[in-house]
Amino acid sequence: MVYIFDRLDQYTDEAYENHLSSLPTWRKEKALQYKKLDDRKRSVLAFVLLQHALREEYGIIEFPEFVYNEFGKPSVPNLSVHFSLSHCKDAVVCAVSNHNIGIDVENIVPYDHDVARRICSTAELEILERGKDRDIDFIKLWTMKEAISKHDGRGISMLYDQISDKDYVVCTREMPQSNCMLSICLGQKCNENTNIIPTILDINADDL
Amino acid sequence: MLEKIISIISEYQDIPADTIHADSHLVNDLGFTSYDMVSLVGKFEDEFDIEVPDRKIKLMKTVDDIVKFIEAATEE
Repeated sequence: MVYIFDRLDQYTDEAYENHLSSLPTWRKEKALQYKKLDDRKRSVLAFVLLQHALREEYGIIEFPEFVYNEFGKPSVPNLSVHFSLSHCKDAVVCAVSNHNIGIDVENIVPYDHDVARRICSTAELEILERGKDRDIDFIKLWTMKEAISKHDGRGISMLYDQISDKDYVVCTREMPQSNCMLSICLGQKCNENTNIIPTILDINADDL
Repeated sequence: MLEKIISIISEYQDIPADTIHADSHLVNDLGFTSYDMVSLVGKFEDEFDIEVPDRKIKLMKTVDDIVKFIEAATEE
C-alpha cells in the first residue's frame, strides 16, 4: 500500500514536535541534522508514515534502526516487509509491500533540458522536446526512473545509466493538489509479483 | 571558491549561507534530492564554464567535494 501526505501546509509545528519527541533517538538525530525546519518536518513525516503503515498493515509497533546499502537504500534488519520512502517540497510518501518496491515523488517544475539530458536517452529527449507538456512529461519520466533505481537499490548512480522504464512495471499518479508526480516501481515485467497494483491512501495529520 | 559555492547552494536551497560549511553533507544536512543534485550541477557548469561528467556527480557528497572538483576543473 502507498501512503501519501501532501498537506504539508497543514502539518503544524506542534504536530511536528509531538512526532519528533516520539521518534527513536537514531531517527530523531537524522531529522535534526537538516538545517531547514521544512526538511526536518519531511524527514519526521516519512518515518511516521512508515510507522503508521507497518502498524496498520502488519501490526509492527517497533523496529530496529535502518541499515543502508552502499547506494543509500534503507532496510530494516530481520523485517520481511519491504518499504520505500520519498519526499519533495510539497509531499511525503511511503510504500510498504511484501515484495521489493521503489517509490519517488517530485514537484512538477519547469522543464530543464540540462537536467533531462543527464538521464534521458536520445529517443526519450526527442519525444520530450516534441511534447505539448514537457514539464509534466519529464517529471513523470524522472520519477519513473528514480522509482526504478530505488527499487533496484542503486539510487542516483543508476539514473545516469539511462535506465528504460519499458522493462519495469511502474504506476504513476499526478497529484494536482500539491502539484506533484508520484511513481511506484513494482519490479521487472517478467516478475509475477508485479500484477498487484498497490492501493494509494491519502493521509491527514489527524490520521497519524 | 568555497564562498562562491556556498552562495550558490544557499540561494538554490534557501538556506542561510552562514549555516553551510565545507563539511556539510548535501543530502543529510542540506536536504538535497537527486533532482536537486543534477539541477545544481547545471548551475555550476554555467557559472564556471565547466563540464561535470555524470560519474563525478555520484562522488559529490559534501560541499567540499564540489569545491575540490570545480577548483581542479577550472585549473585545467
